[in-house]
Amino acid sequence: MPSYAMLIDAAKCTGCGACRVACQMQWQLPPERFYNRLEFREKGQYPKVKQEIFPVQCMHCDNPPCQEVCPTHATYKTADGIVHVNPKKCIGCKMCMMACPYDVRQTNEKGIVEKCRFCDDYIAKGEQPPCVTTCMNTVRVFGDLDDPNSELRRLLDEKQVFTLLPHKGTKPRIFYVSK
Amino acid sequence: MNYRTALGLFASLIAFGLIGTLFLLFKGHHIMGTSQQFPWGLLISTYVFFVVSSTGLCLVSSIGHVFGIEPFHAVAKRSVVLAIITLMAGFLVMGIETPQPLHMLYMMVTPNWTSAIFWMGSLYGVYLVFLFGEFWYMIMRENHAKARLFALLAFFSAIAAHSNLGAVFGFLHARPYWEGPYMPIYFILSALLSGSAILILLFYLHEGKDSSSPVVPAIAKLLTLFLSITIFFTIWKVLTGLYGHVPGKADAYRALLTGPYALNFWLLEVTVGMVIPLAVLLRKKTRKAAFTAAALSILGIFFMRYDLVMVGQVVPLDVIDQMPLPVTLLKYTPTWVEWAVVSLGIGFTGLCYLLAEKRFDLNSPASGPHKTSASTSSHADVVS
Repeated sequence: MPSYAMLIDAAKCTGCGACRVACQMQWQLPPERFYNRLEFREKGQYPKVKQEIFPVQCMHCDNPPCQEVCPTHATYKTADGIVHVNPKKCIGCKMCMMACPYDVRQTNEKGIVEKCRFCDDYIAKGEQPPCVTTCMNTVRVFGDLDDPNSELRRLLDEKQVFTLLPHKGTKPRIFYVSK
Repeated sequence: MNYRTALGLFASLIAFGLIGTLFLLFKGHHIMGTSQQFPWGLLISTYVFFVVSSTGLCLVSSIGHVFGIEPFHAVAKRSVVLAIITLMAGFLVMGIETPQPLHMLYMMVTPNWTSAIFWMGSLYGVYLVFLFGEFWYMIMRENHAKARLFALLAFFSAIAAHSNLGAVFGFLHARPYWEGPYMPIYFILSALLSGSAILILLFYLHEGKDSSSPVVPAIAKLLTLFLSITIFFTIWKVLTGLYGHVPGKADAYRALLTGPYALNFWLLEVTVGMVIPLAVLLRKKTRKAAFTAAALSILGIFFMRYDLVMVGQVVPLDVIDQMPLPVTLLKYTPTWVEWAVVSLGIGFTGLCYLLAEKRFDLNSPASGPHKTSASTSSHADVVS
């Protein structure tokens, strides 16, 4: 069984937003709904100012608070590391949206909660998620944590990485390359 | 106000509520004022208001019915009826707020034992069954022993269910305004406050201002106590919230104290809901003073619930904590549809209660070993 994760090298991100649009096309989302987003931050003081960009999406945490609070087990985590939402069980209480510290869950037109699912149908066929393939600078690297030959594993072993909000104890599966 | 006018008023509230509900069902939940970043709105706080009222009625009436303290015997019947109705009103509002209520079936099929919502929902279901048991044996069968047993079960299930409602908020580590053990404790205290205020209102309207019944003065003493404790709790909650300027938490308190919720907090929650009622109760010991204090408290309590739910969401989650953004508070304004559903809940409560007053004998105190000498003879204008 693979163990999926993602590495994001935010320093390479140009902020073009193609990842967001590719995801919206993949899941046929209206413009106001999205499963990934870019967070822009300014660093330093004039004249030495720099903009940093952080692509953010569901972190597929190993200790997901969204799963813990869901009353019907609509949110669940599979052995491959992906956190899913079963729309047939979701009551739309939005408790998971309140519990997620990353603000990556949204409701659809039926009030059912949705989010990034690492394009599970797609990767089952050996493809990569569109947010990965569409990026011109290879900001995202997706792969199997347990595969010693995967590029993801190699990069994680080589580079210094960090996760977002580590003090929340969620153990995210999305890693960021330290600058 | 006579019975027919009151019926008409509550029926009108229901009619307005049904129009709003139909709009919501046909147009979709996006017509509410909530958003992806501000997911819980007026209907959640109204649900809390109703179920807090139900729990409070159960807990306060238990003082007489379960623990045998004299003047409180007289409130048992009306309390259990109104506790059932307010709980159903809460369920009604929550049912409308929830986009997929039929999926709640999966709470039984695939329950999640770690979910506070699962426990809250299940325990409120159990609580409702016990309330019905208490109602059946106390009012329909006049069997005090069994009624007392069910009242005791309802008492414990109410505390369990209601503290779990507090845990729905307290378990949210992503939301520093709510996180922690304060919420389950505060919810129980606030239920006692609501229960006392509602019972004073109810018995003042029922017995009239000139009655010599000891019920209203006895509950007024409780209301004084619970108001004082609530003020004490509020002071410490605010001080600990501001202390240390913890990001996210202190920002939310600033929104409450000096930001967009300041008017709600200082005027409605503190002045109308706590300070004036307490001053009135301490200054005058009359039934009318108790009624005024109770009515103001209930109004304040409604906004307490509103502020509790909204202020917890007003600060956007900052995901990149290494480089935090300046705080821009999120906005939420309820739409008329949400107010309509609130009106439906209030109308439902009022109408059902008036019908219950006509249909059942709620005047005689609950029979039992400590039969009260409380007079409940004078009929209220509202039910005459």
